[in-house]
Amino acid sequence: MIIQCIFEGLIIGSILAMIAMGIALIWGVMNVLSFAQGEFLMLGMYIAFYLNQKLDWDPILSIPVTMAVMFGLGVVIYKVLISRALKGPVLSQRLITFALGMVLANGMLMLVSSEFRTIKEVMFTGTVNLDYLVVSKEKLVPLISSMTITALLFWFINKTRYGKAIRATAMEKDAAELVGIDSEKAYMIAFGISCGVAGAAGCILSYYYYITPTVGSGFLLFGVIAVALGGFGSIFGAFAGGILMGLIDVFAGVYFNTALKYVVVCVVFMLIVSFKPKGLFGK
Amino acid sequence: MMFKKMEKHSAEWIPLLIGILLFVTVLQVAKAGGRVTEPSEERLSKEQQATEAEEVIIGVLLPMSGTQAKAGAEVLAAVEMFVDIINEESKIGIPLAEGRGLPNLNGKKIKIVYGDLKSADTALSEAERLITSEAAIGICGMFSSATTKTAAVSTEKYKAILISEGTSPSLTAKGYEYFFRIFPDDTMYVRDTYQFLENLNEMEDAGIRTVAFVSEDTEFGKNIEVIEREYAEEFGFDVVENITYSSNATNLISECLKIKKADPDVLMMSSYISDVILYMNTFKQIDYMPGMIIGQRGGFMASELFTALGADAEGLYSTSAWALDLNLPLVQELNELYKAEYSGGVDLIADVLKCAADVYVLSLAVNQAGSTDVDAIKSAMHNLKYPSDQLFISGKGFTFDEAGQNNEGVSLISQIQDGKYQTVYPKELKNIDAIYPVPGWE
Amino acid sequence: MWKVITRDKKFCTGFCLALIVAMILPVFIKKPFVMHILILVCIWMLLGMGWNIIGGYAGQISNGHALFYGIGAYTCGIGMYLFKISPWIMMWAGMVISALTAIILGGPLLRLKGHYFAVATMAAAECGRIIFLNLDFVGGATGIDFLNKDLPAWYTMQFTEKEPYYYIFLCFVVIVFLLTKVMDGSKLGYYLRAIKSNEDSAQSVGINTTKYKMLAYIFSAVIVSLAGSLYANYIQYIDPYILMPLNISMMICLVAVMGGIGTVVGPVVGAFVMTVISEWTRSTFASINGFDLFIYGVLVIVIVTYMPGGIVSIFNKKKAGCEKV
Repeated sequence: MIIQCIFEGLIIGSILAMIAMGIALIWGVMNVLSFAQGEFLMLGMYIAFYLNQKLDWDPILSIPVTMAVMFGLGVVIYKVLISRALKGPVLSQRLITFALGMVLANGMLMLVSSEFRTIKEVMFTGTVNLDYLVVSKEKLVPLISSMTITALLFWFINKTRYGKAIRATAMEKDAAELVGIDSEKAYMIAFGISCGVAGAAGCILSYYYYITPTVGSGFLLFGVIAVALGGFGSIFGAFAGGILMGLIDVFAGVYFNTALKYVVVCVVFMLIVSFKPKGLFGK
Repeated sequence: MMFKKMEKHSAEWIPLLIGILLFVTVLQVAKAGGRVTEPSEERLSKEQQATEAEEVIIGVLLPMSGTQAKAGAEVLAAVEMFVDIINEESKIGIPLAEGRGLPNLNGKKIKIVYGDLKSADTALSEAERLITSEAAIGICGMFSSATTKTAAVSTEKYKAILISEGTSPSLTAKGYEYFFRIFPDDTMYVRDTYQFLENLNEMEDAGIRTVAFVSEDTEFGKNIEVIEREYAEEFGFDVVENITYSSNATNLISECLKIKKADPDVLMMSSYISDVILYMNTFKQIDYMPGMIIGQRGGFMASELFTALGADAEGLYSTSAWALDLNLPLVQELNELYKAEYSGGVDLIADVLKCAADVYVLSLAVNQAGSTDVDAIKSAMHNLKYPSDQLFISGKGFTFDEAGQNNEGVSLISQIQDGKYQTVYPKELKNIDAIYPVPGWE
Repeated sequence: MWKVITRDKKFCTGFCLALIVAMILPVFIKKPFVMHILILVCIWMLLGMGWNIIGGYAGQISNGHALFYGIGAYTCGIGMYLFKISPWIMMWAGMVISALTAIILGGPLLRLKGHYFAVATMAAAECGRIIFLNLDFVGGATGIDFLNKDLPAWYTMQFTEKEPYYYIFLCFVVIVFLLTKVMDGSKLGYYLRAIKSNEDSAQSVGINTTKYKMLAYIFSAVIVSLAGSLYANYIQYIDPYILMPLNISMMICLVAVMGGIGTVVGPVVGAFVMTVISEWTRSTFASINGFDLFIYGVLVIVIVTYMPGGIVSIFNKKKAGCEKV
């Protein structure tokens, strides 16, 4: 049972981690707490769904396309909305992302109605039944995909030129500009990537979760908590926070009480943050 | 830079814009709430309003937005169908179908005014709005027990009939004066569930001993869980697991792992459709399927059960108050009419028909009373006459007791076989044998 | 204390005018739905003003004030339902419990800065919601329905007409509004503003930031709790869903920000505009799924983007412009 719990916790955690990393990226670079991340996840799910319906694509295969589309959307949203919001006070920025989330979720409701949809025909189905562990391929594939994307994200942020530029802008914007980094562009790319990652998480989630315009909010709250748990500015922290929360979720549910498991998650979070105000890995 | 420029210009035109906005909002505030065009500003009494109007107005509360909106749209279509049957000449063989409108009120037609049912407190204000601003004489709708309670605050206060299919037994225990319920309540459904299990044990040696409950954490699930526990004791079944979970959860894995560990013979679920989908997917992923999953309506009665789960839905059971395979020709006639002209091909399902039936029965009572006076309608409801050969629901008709419950209702248990619900219990109404246990995931 | 108010002549005249309008307004209103909107406006004014103290003045953005709202509502509900105690008494109990909760939470949480504080308050509110949901003693998911026809209406604060509610709530709004005005001009307001602009500098000048942040948090919790108690008595039914989802907490911030964060009048204006917009969009656009919230979201984005200082800031700017001439 314990091994099963660890496996399941890692899966949930990895998806939460992807959302958390998207939030952490925007938080770290622009100091904006984006409440629209759940809706970007939802849009990713719908893109995967329609690609599956019209072109029979497996959701995992549609990840590159989804990420590209969401990146584009993120850039547009940045230019139209966020760049303006950045010039105002911090609270306004948060409220704007919150309202943006509302607009996206309800816009989708208007467009496609709230009918619950699922993707039924996926490439990898079935389970592998080891004695102490049942591995569902439908869950293994998401796990591998999210780990891959996480690795790609780390590589991008740490090894590529653009990634380093973004990190520099995050650390010290004026200094970065002095060495010739276009901070506007860095912000724009960071926002775009964060949307892209959320979109990818949506594709992955659509493997086994249902699709409806309001799915975002459930994931958002815990994504945000995961980020705060991990620490400001640390993408690795967000990743760790997400995984940790997934594990706590499953273990608390199985060994404690399913009804109160989210209380456990929140209390653990508040305790950790009380003793380490900057999160586990914060700077 | 852009922002500073905007500031300079905004100093000039934004105050004007604000002024206009505020002016418009104040106008709207003064005008808001009423879509009925009234000739004068005086506050007419409700009866005056009703008799002066050309129509009898019934309020219907439906979820028009949010996740339940699709079900709301189906109910709206069904309500429209019944209203058209009453208001226009119709070939369907039920009372009030012949002729136009209500014969005892000189052919006055039924008019429906809709309100959005988003949450318990909006139910209260919408019911109030429909009664006070739209002169509704009664309120029906796609209620849950929670929203019924708040709507009842308004209907009891302003004196309007409330017919709701919220299944909590507490609704009839509260002593409401103007409340009615046509179909069974939870105690009946749960008791029949256990009787069905006993029946399977006796007739087919099914050997069912253990049960487990999965309940979502709102009014719906929590109420049923209490009743399920009580009856389990009465009927002598062992409860091996009792799970309450957060509805619309992001994952249900811990719940499913616990159930798999407990391995009950029968799993009783009260969940909404989103969770049902997730449960079935999660069970599949851990390669577990209990011998019987019996839902207490809710998500099990949603049309998405078939579209979202497809073949995975085979074998699921649910209690219900009505089914398409009832041995009554009117059922098929109504369904054909519904599919052809109102719903775009979607079948009538129990939870949809129930709300529309509420509107229909209320209209019958208004007609029988011959007036829109609420007390007259109430007394007509208690003495409702209905020809027994024109029923389209199971049971013997309509006999409402003091608390407003119709005691002629019968509950059914259906199982999904070959892609649709088929009635398997009670014996008198069943069409097909139940399959137990249900095969696993291979 | 009164000197602070009466010194500002402009404020006095404006306030008295608004008060007179507010008091005679019900005479002209025929439809209960409109009265309903006005009552909601009063509740949101209280919520906005309460939040403004910690969020606007002290600059600690809390995203979890729905918790105190819930505590206030539940204490009144339980008091009436189980013990038949009048809400006039229970609202004070609610305020005390909220204050205690604020102290318990504030201790660890107020040490957090910026986004961390926001997220932690969100987590706290979510905890509260789940606990209330599962505590059968407070009705759990079923909530509590405490309509009581036996005791006199003034005792139970359960009236059949809306006007008494409106006037009672208006009284509270006026009291809290005046208190905010007093605080604004007092040393406390001054300290809070200092903390908001730069906490470290404020500390170095000798201001006890921890103490004043805690005071602000307690005051805001108490006022928000009051609003919760009043609302519960208005609808005579509460359950965890009415009160605590994340949206409520965000909308409380929204009210203050749209009107003008950190100002006295801001939350009042913001509450009015916001409530009217949301009720109007809901009743007009209910037929199209999601359209009402869509419009609402768009309006919020537009207002917050182009007027980050809130609606009130437009009028302040105009004043400044005139003075130059």
